[in-house]
Amino acid sequence: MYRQATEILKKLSLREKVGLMSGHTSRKSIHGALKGTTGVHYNEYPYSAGGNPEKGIPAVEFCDGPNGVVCGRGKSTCFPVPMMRAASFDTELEEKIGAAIGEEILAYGGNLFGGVCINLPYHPGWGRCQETYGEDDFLIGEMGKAMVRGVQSTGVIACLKHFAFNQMENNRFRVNVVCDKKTEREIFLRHFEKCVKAGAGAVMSAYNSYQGVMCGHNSYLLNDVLKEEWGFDGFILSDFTWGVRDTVEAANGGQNIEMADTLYFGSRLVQAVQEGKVSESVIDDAAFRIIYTMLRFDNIRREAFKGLKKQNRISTAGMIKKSVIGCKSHRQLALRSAEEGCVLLKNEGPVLPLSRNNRKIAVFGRLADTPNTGDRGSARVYPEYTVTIIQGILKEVSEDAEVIYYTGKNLSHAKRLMKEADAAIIVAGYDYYDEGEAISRDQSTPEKGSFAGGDRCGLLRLHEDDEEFLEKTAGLNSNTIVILIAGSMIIPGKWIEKIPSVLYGFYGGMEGGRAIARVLFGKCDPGGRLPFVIPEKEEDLPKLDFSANEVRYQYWHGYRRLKHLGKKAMFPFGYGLSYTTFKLFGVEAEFDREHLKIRISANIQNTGKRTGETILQVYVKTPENDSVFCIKGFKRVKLEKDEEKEVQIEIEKFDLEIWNVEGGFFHLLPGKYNIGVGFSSDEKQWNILECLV
Amino acid sequence: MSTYSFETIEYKKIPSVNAFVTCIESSVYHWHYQYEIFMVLKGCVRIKIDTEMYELKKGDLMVINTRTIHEVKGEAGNLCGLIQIDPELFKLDDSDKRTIRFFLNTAAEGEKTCAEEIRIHAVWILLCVLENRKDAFYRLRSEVYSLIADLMERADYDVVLKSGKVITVSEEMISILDYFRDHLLEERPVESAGRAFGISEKTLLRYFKASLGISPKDFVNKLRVEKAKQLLRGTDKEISFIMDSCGFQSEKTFYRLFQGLTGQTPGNYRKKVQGEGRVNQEIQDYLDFEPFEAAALLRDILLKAGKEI
Repeated sequence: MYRQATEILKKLSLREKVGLMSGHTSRKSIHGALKGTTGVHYNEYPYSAGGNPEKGIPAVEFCDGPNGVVCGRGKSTCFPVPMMRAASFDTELEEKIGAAIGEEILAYGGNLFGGVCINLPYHPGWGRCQETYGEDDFLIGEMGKAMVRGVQSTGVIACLKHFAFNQMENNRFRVNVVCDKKTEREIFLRHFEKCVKAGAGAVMSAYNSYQGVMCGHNSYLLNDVLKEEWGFDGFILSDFTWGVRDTVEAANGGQNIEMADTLYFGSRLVQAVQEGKVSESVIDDAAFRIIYTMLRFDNIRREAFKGLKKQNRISTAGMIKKSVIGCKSHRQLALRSAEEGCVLLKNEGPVLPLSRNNRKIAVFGRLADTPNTGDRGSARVYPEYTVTIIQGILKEVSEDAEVIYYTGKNLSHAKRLMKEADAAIIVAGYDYYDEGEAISRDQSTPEKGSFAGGDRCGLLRLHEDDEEFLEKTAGLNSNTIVILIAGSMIIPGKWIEKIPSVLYGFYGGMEGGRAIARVLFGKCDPGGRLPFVIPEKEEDLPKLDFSANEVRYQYWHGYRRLKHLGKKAMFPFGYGLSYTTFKLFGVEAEFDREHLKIRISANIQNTGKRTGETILQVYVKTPENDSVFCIKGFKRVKLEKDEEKEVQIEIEKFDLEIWNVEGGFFHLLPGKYNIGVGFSSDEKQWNILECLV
Repeated sequence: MSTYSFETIEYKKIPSVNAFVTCIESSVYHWHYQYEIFMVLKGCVRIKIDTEMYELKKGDLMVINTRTIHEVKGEAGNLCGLIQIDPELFKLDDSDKRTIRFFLNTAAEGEKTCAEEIRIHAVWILLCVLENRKDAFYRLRSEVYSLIADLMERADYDVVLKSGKVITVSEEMISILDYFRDHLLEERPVESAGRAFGISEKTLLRYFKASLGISPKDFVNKLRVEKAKQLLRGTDKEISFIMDSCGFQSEKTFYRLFQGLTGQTPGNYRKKVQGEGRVNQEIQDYLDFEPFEAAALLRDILLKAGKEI
C-alpha cells in the first residue's frame, strides 16, 4: 500500500496534489441546508473532497454522525446519543454499532464517518455533550476506540473530532484555550492519542484556537503531536468553512484538506507553493497521507465485502445493498443500546419495575409524546420513525389498561389525575431548543443571531415550570416515576427527595421510547451507569464562561474534581441501580511485571430475585502526589438469579502512565498503586487493594 | 423543509356536525359520541357530570366530552346553543386511537382557557344555521375546523389512550345506561341488567353511585318519568296507556314518581304543556323558542367582542 501510494504520488502534478486537498461542496448549499432554505437537509448526500479518478484516487465522501448516518431521509438507523451509549459502558456493543454505521455509510456511497466525537466535556453545560462519551478520559477513549474499530472494520474511515480543546459551543469560532502541559496531555489529548494509535484514519481539526493558534493551522497539535509524536499516518480535514482562514498558515500548520469547499487552498495554495511560502514537501506529505489512507481503506473494504457477502448484504452488482440502511438488525442494536443506557438513579418501594396490574397510568410532560433524538445541528439523523415514550408505554401495558396523558398547566387537574392513577410517570428535561449545536431557531428564515441549541449557560437544572410541577405534585401518588430526558447532566431539585423513582432516559434514538417503556415494565434491566457525576451544586464544578474569548482549562473537572476537593456527590460517576442486587467478593489485583499490566479478578454474584446486569468498575490512584482515584477499567456483566461469575479486567500500561512534566513524556511511575473495585465511583462501597508497580 | 405538498383530502363520508339553538327543559343522564359545545344564551341551566353539578348562566360555555354521561336541567325561559361535533374530525388519521378530554367550562374553576375564541366560533356556526346565510356552506366548515384547531392548540386537555379493546367502568356504564333505555318495560330491569352484564346488584349500585351519584333504581325511574313526559306532551294517549308504555308497575307508583320528579301530576303537566301548543321534538325534551331572539343574542355576543357581522 505504501509503495503503491508513493508510485501514484510521483505521477501527480502540483495542481493535482493540491486538488486532493480540496473540499467540493459549496458553502451556500451547506448553510442553506442547515438553515432549511434548500430542498435538502445538511449532508443528505455525502460531501465530497479531493479525488482523482483518472489516477486511481477515490474522492473522500464525508458522512456525518454520531447518532447514526446523517444522510438520507426516513431511512437511517438512529442510535441513542453517544452520552447514553457511554452510560452502557459497553464497548462490544459500540463496536457493533460502529460496524452497522459503517455498512449504512457504504450503502449511501460514503467512505468516511465524521462522527467520532471524543471531546471531553470540561463543563456539563457544553451544548454538544450529548455527542461525546461522558466526562472521563478513559471512558471516552475506550468507547471511541470501539467505535473506530467498528466503523473501520467495514472499510469506512473513522474521523476523530474535534481536534482539539473543543468543548464550548457558543463561542467555538472565537475562543482561545490555554492550559498547562499536564492538563493538555493527560486530560484533553490522551483519548485522542488512544484512538489514533488504534488506527483511526482521519482527524478533523477544531474551530477554536489553542495557545493562540487556530487548531486548523496549529503546527504544534497537527504536526508535532499528531503526526510526529503519535505516528498518525492518516489525513487531517478541517471543520467546515471556518476551520481554515489562511492559506500559508494552514498548510504549514499541518492541515491536509480544506472542508467543505475550497477558498484558501486550491489555486491560492498552488500560488503559495510557487512563491516559496509553502514548501512542496508539505503538499507531498498531505497528498501522500490522503492517497495512502484512501487505498488502505479501499483494501479493507474489499476484505470486508467478503464477509458481508456471506451475510447476504452485497447485491449482484457487487455493491452493498441499500436495504441495510435502517434494517432490522441495526434497529435492534439501537434498542439494545437504549436499554443498556437507561440509568436508574432512585427506586424506593421499589416502584419499578411496574407490574401489569397498574391499569390506570397517568403520564405528564410534553416530552413524553415528542420524538426527541437529540439536537438538530449537523448530528441530526432522519430515521423512518421514532418511538415516543407514550407509544412505548402503550405497547407494554396490559390489555385492559388505560393511559391518560396530560401536558397542561392546570395543577388541580394534574393532581386529580395523579391521585386517581395507579402509577404516575412524569417526563421532564430538554430538547434541541435547550442544548446542542447552535442552529438558526427558525429553520425557514436565514436570520443571524436567533438560535436554538447552544451551551446551557447557568441552566444545569430542569426548566422552572418542570421544577415547579415536580415540587407541587411530589408525594401525591406513591407510584411516581420521573424520567429525565437530556444529553448531559441535570442537577435535580429538592423534589428528588419526595419522588420514589427516577430514571435517566437521555436521548434514546429511534427506539428510545420503546426501551424506556421496557425498562419501566421490567422487560429488561436499566442497564446504564452515570457517565458523569451529579454534584450537589454547580459550584463544585469548574467555572466556565461560555462566552469568553479566552479560557484556561484547569486540571480538575467532573468527578475527579469532587474527589480532589473532598466534596460529596449527589450521585457519583458510575452510579446506577439495577432491579436486582449483586455481591462482590474475592477481589484480587496483581501487577504483571512482564507485560506491564495490572490484572484484577473478582467474583460477582446475583443475590436478588431476577436476572440483571451490572458494570464492574476499577479505579486507580497512582503514587503521584495529589492524585485521586480515576476509572481505569470496567466490564459489563449479566447474571441470572443466584448465578456467580469470575470477572477479569486488565489495565494496560498506557492507561496507568502519567505525564512527566520535566521530561515531556508519559511514563509509568513505580510505587504503590491503590485500586478500588466496585459498582460506582463511591469509595465507601469499594474493595480496596494495593498493588506494587 | 421549505417545499410544501398540499393534498386535497377526500372524505368517504362527511363527518357530521349538528348545530342548533334550543330551550332545554331536562334530559336524564345520557351520553353521545359527539363532542358537545354547550353555550347558554339566556337564562340558567344546570349540568351534572359525574358527581359534579355546574350552574351555567348567560355567557357560560362548556365542552361536554365524547361518551361522557351527563344530565341537564334548564330553568324556564332558557336559551342554549349546542354544537355537536363528530369525534372523527379530531382524528389525525385512521390509526389515531386517542380519546381527547377537553377541560373547558367557564362555570368551573380554572377551566376558562380559550373560552373566548371558542365562543366566537360557536356563535358563527349557530348564526350560519339559524339565518340561512348566503355562502354559509363555506363559513360553517371553516368555523368548525377553526374551532377544533383552537381547542387543540389552546384548550386544556388530556389524552386517553388504550392499549387494546378495553372495557373500563365508564364504558361499561354507557352500555348499562343504553340497556336500561331499551328495557324500560321490564318489571325488574336492574336485576336483568345485572344478569346481562355479569355483575352483582351490589357492584351495579357501586358503579352508579361512583359515576352518577344515584342508584340504578332511581335512574330507571328518571328514565321512565322522562319518557312519560314526552308522551304526555306529544300525544293524546291516555294516562293508563302512557303508564304502561313507560314500564310503571301501578298508577300509584306512576303518580308518586312523576310528582316527585316534576312537582306536578301527569294531568297538570299535560295541560300546561299542551295548552301552549308546543311541538314534539325527538331530542331530549327540547322546547320551542324564537329564532329571532336567538339570532339577536348571538349577534350581541359578536358585537361585544368587537367582531364584524
